Amino acid sequence: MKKLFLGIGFVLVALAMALSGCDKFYGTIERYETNLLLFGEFTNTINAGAELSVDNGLTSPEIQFGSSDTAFVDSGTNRINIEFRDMRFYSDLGTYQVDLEKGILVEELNEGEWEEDPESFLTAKPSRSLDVVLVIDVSSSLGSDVALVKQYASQFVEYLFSQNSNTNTRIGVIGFSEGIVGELGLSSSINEVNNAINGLQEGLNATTLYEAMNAGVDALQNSTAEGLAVVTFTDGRNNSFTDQAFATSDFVYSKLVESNVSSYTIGFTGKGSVDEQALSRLAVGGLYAFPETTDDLLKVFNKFANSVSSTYLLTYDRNVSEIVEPVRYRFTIPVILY
Amino acid sequence: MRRVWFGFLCSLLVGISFGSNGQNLLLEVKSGYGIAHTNRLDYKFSGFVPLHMSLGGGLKNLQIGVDVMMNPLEVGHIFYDEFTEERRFIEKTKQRVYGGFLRLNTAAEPEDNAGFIAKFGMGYVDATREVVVLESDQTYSKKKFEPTFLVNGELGVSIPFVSMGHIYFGYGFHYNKMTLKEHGIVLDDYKQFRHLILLGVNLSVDFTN
Repeated sequence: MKKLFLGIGFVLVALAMALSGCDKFYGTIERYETNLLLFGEFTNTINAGAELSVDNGLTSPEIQFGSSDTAFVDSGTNRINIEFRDMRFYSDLGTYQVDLEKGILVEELNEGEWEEDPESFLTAKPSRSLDVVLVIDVSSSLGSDVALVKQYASQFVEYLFSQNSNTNTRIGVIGFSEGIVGELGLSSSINEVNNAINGLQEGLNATTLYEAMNAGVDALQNSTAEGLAVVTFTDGRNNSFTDQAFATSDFVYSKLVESNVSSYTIGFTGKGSVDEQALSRLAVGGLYAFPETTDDLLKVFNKFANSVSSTYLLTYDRNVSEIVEPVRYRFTIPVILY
Repeated sequence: MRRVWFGFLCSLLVGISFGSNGQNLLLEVKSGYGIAHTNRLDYKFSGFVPLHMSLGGGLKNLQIGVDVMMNPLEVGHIFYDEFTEERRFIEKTKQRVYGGFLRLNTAAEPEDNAGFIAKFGMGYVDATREVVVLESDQTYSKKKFEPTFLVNGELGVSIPFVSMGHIYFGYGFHYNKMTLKEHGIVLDDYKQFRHLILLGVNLSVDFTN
């Protein structure tokens, strides 16, 4: 009997230990919703005008600010509007989309208590304009996969145009191998963009990755679109450059950090020569992925198209009253993870 | 402070059991398998492995006691990437319950006979939500739930297999509310239900014999 007693105890402990290392018993999350918090202080003085300064210490880190805010008085309604353009919501968990069916809760700190402010509003709308540059590696190392890459890139373009049918969307194309082998400036014509992608000729077995990315960022320098993104595809590592500045990723990285451009990088690891460290570093304000197969590559293109589209214009709307002492505000933004 | 109270209650129970009015001391360890579900429609069932340890005392057929309930395999939910279909992150609910219970045993001589067990309890829930990115195995966030209480019930049988030693087999049900806040804003608020199949061993000492 003592053996039975010990046996059962042993089985129970073994069961617990075995299952603790196994995740097939876990459930799934079909839809991940949460709230992101934005904290700020509002002032409106005759000299300095209206300003909503964001408290980065308290604000949810998932909230990524693009270009600086712009404040103006709407002459039609005589109300102050402060616009935050190219707003994105993302984290290591993925890209969030604002749940537009739910409103954003606006609260004001009043004598230590947060109270709903029914007279001011924060609204989120998908960006009214989006400029994207596709930087595509067409070096000979891709071999027969180059046709698939072009096909997926075309699907990416079609997705962006269809998802943003109410948005002024423009897409540019840069093809590279040893230098830039094909280029199309920003275009709002889907046919023009697809023709440019299909017309990219296979290049040599060299990869001027950083120069090509730099050209992609440059193509957006004068853009006034609310959403800016460079999407880079490569199957290799930077092994060629005409300027010493592009020997490492530092120059392009600094340029991306200083710009309002979100960078997405795809390293196709099928040939095993991708510099994952550099590509993940260069995904400034965007995402990176290293698909191994062409099936995975298609999924990544689709995912990135969805993420690139998720850029918002946030508008804070309130009356024109002069406010000298800063008023603390808290905005609760409902989001859905994709 | 919880540990101080827990220790105090344990000492009290042992005292009662050995005292003139005490008749019985119960020590029980059990584990098994459970499923957890909530009223959040977007979260599917999750399995988990419980580990419960109980110390009780009192009369032959009715005991009060304290227990600790933990989970070697916690409740977890995985989020899959919509496009790549890869597992992206897991949201784990790490929960430990410090509770008290009332236990009824129908056996004429609980030390020697088999008996039906009915148990009702309440406990303080110490729970944390940990989100782990699966690709990097890095913890993305770790947040404590608001303190709350759990109610639980159990029905089972206790069968002797050696002197004072029993095998316990039973079904358990747990219910509690879970609220997660940040800066006073409710980020998540739901009801949690857990169903458990439990198998364990207990030591039942009757001091009157």
